[in-house]
Amino acid sequence: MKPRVAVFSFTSCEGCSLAILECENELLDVINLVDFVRWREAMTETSDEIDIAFVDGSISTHEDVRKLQEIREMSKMLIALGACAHTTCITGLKNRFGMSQVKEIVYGPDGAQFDTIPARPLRAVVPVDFELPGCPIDRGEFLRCVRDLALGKKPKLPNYPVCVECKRKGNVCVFFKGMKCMGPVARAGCGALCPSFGDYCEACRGFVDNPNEESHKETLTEHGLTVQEVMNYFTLFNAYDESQI
Amino acid sequence: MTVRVIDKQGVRRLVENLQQEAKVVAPHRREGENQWAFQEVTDPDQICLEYVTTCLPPKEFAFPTRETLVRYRLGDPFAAEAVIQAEPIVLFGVHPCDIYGLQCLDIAYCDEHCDPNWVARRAQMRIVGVDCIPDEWCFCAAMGTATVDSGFDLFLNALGDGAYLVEVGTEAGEKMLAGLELREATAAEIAAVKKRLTQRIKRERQIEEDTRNLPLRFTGKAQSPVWEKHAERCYSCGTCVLVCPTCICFDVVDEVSLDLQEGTRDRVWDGCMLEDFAVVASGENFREERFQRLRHRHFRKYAYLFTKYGRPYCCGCGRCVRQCLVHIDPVAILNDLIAESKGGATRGA
Repeated sequence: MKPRVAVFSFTSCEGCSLAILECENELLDVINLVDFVRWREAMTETSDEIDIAFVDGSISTHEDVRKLQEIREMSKMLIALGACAHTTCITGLKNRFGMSQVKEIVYGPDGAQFDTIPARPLRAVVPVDFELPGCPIDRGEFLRCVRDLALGKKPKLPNYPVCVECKRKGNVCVFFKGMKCMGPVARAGCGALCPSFGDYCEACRGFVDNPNEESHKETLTEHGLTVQEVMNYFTLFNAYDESQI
Repeated sequence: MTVRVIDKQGVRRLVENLQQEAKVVAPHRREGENQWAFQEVTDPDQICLEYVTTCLPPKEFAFPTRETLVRYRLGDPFAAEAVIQAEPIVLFGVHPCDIYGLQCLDIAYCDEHCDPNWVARRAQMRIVGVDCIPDEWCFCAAMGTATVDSGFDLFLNALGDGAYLVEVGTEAGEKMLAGLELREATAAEIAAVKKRLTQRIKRERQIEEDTRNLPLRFTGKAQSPVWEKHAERCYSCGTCVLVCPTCICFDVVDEVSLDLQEGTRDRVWDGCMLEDFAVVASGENFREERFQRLRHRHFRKYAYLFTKYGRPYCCGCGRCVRQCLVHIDPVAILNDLIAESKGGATRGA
């Protein structure tokens, strides 16, 4: 029997759920491997019988916490889908402020009525079986993940930095073009997408298991960044800090 | 054999002739300061023969960064076929250090198990070498690779104004020159090229030891503090191994299609500086720490493979240190080890 798959979204642009729909050439193969039973972006039907839940978005209200716990209980496997669910992505930037201050800045005096808590990645709320990183997810990586699960294999992420993919592509190092880059500490798997198109890596996929952060802070400083700028590079997509919660 | 001279127009005609029969790959300028890459030649005017070094070594044309080794069909019956794709190719404008690097891979890939993909591509590969412009990171003279006496079909030594002294290495090289107007080199031209080479070698960075003794200098150095000292800022990003002309390692991965009907077994460049390289099935990592990986890389280059094959597995091209963001430098490491060894102060084994 095919695994029953659901897709849920919390605080995010929902682009990672959409990225699944954008696998247009592969979707027929995907539905040969799994049955989608619940996915608000793609279907009207709904179900509570779920084998694999892909969950997009960070957890940033009390209601989100309750709903995620429900999803965890009804699913055999829970997979974080994309940077918001994995690292909180840019939704975690608000965690540096007080919540009443955040509401005031965004909504003015009416903000007080909203329920908001510091953004958390899924794993800070419930046990997570696997995390698909990236802003947005890499569609190829999603498809390989679905294939591996259908084959009963545990999906695997690369544990090497973006530099590896730049070198395999023969890219000129971003630093040699006068820019700064998070590639040496950022987890690969995107095919060095941004550096390959003239931009630099912002570590949207999080860090490798053992990044040499101290060394990279020195490197960025040596290339002219201030302490504040170095912090900005490190935290744009990776702001979540348990101690701030 | 007389030494001949080919002028600028002759070089252009040589490239055009080669293009009739093969894909011609040569150094091209890239975005950024002092960046070059081997690319297929579409316009001979775009070739840049006066260059320091390319980002990736030319081995990628015989050992691609990713290639399919086996294609298979799942189900009953299971069917699999080996994939070997090779085409006639000319690497035009290869430095001596990179020629040495290709020879290192020839030896390693034709050892106990002969790698059919490497051999098939090398069999159809022709090499036109060119002398080089070293920068502050080069140390080919220390590795004995500032010149090579084999491994090329033709070798060009710059005389200025786009003219070159031509050295012929093989019969195929001689045939390449057919129909081109060459003149005999003068004694002064030959002397000028020799003088330039001698001066260049003097300017380069040196290792404080006869290269042949390097494996001895690694004896008992597994516990040396040198490794931790130089690994402190290492990222384990693998840049040094991926840009190395003499690194031979790869990973083999299976890619099954989404419809689960077929798949490929591919190999991709891998390297011992990456954290997961020495992880085995139980999850144990035999080289968990950065310094252990740095140490392994250097033992392999200057001791293990040196002892096994009788030549350093380092061509002194300097790509590793040049492209390393924190400039971890094999010359500094070797000289530290040599100094430690000569001073007699070793720790532990």
